[in-house]
Amino acid sequence: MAAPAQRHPAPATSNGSGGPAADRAVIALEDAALLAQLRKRDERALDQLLHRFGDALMRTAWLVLGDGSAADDAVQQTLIAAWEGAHRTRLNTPLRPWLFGILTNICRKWQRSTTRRRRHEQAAAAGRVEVDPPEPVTDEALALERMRQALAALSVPLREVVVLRFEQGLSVDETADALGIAVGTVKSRTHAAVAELRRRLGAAGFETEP
Amino acid sequence: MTPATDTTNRTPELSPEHTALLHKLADEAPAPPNAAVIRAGLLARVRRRRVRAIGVVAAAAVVVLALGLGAVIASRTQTVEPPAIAGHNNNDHDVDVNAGANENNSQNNATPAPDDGAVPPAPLPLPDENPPVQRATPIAADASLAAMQDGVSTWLRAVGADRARITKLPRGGLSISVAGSGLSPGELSADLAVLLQHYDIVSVRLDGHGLRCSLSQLH
Repeated sequence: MAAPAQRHPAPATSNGSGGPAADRAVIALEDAALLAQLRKRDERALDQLLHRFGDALMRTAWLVLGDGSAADDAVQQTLIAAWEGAHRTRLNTPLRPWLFGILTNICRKWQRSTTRRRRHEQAAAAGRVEVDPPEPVTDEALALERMRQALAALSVPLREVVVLRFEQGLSVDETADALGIAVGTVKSRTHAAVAELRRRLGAAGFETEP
Repeated sequence: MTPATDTTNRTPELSPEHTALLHKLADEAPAPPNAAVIRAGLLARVRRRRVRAIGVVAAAAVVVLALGLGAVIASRTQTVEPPAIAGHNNNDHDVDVNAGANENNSQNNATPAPDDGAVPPAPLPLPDENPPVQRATPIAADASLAAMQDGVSTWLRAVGADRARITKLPRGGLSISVAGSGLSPGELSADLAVLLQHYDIVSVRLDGHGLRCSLSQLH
């Protein structure tokens, strides 16, 4: 598995010499160019979308859904929806929040559709002998398993905020744009999610940024 | 400071250790689908939409065709009437169960029907389980005819017929067209035969369309 740094391709024109504001301007220009390509149904735009956002979308879907094949389907549907819906989007739309918004909507639909199925499956498996999963061997594996369980225990809205804010590094405003909610809602959900993770993972994991 | 006591406008952050754990967990994600898979999905979706659109158009065409065919058949079976017999006392009474669907047939008895070359269909015998009641009785008087029409109309409403018409034919027969009653032709004709015995109706004829029956009065 590749390291996280390798799976977050930096913007092609970002060389660090112009500062964050310049990077943001470059990204906005790249987004506009890519969106224009998408609107023209240029197939190269699909490759660029995959190159720039494929990994990030996959990691997000994986963390939100916890299922590899479902995450694969969700990313595929997201890119197809972006391809088909680009003409309905303003040209100055930031692509990252827009794509994450599509992805989270698709993930919610998938979770709604699987909730009933899971309930049936759990009811069907109620009388069977449960087999415990193999115990994690190393401390790191144990910590990962605890994080996985803590994340899975969060409600979907809180999990989305945690993944977008702390895994993808979206700002509060971008997260609000992606999820279609108010900035204050993002903050309150972040509070609740961090408190819940802290409760499950231990008090040592909580900090407050100045 | 804990979230419960944090009253400032600061947003809480995960610790670097937990953020690193989150990243490691995300590293377990499978690789994203490649462009060929996305294109295949896109093509499949376009195909599905085309097939769905073709299906909708085909279904609409079938419905329109069926409605048109039904309308043609209905118009043909309703407009053919036997020619009038001169000198015969035909009291034309049209009773329409449904308001607004009345067909006013007020032609003179002596006036021949429009010469469209149509030959009145001969009454057919009922199936064996419902033998026609053969009675050599005279034509019912106007009073009994009106009573019969009232009775039949009431019965047709009771069985839920959504289209029904009772017409006194110029030749002396009586035509009752029923549609949407939910009864089979056999049930309909049997019930009508029993009902119309009270009014000297002596034969029941099916026209083969299943939802329509005609009754003729012998004379």
